[in-house]
Amino acid sequence: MADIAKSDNDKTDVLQGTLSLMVLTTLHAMGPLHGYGIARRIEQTSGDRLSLNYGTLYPALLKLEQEGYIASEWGLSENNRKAKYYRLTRAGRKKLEKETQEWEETSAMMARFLSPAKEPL
Amino acid sequence: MRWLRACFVRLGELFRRKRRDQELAEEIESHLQMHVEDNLRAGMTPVEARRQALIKFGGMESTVETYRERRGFSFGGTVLQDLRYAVRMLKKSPGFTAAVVLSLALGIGANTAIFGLSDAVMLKFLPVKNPEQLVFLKCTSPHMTDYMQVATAVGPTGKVPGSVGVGRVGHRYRHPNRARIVAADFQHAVRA
Repeated sequence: MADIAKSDNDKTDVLQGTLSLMVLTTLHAMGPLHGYGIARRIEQTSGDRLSLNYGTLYPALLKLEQEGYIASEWGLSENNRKAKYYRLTRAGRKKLEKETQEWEETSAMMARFLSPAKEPL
Repeated sequence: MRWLRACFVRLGELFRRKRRDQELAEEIESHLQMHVEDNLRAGMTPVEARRQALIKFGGMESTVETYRERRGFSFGGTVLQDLRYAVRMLKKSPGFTAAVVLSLALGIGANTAIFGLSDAVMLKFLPVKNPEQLVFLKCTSPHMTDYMQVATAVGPTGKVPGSVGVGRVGHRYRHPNRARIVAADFQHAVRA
């Protein structure tokens, strides 16, 4: 029981860490976008394998904004609806670069661990 | 220093809670509307479209709660967390911490010392009644009787307690030859 609960926690932790990176990537690729657009885009990009409660996005957006990685302002959506648009700041771009590199290193390292047979020992 | 920036932003949020709550409500509503429109385009009935949008959004209450907590400071939990984080960061760079602590200590210490001195010398009155009436007499005559005369001349008025600095001119500081000649009613006049 305890083990199951623990692994559940680990999963959400990873997800929360990756969510902000996904937001930054999305904003980098799409330009200024509202919360709904970001959520849809993240789902699409993940090939709908990632099921995301859209609500969880907003605290993540707020945190990124407080840290100065993104900025927001109210604007009009494609359908002339009032919406809050988020955009990447210069600090956000830097953060994205750094985080991307870190993730690539981590996943490359994990890949080596998970396929040890290919490497001659 | 991102965390510091976030701290300041969150402190600022304490003063505009109501407006920001309204802004969040508007943002969520605009989000739901856009989702509903997409669902309608996909062929759902209006009721079903709204229902699906709400389900996909997830727990509304918990989202708003998490958002509020993140926005400002819910006193207790997050403040302590941030304090602990501050201490950890300070521990991580002891050189920086030492420099900061030292300059703060020197700054505060020097200021306190100088203010303490000027307060005692220039600002505070002696702890007597009507201290503004105290007079400091200096006499350059070498004859002791002159002092006595000064003292008696002054004493009986009751206004001047007759404190006399005694010393030869030009040698005052090298030979702190000071005396106090007081009138009989000294205690009464000063009421220390």
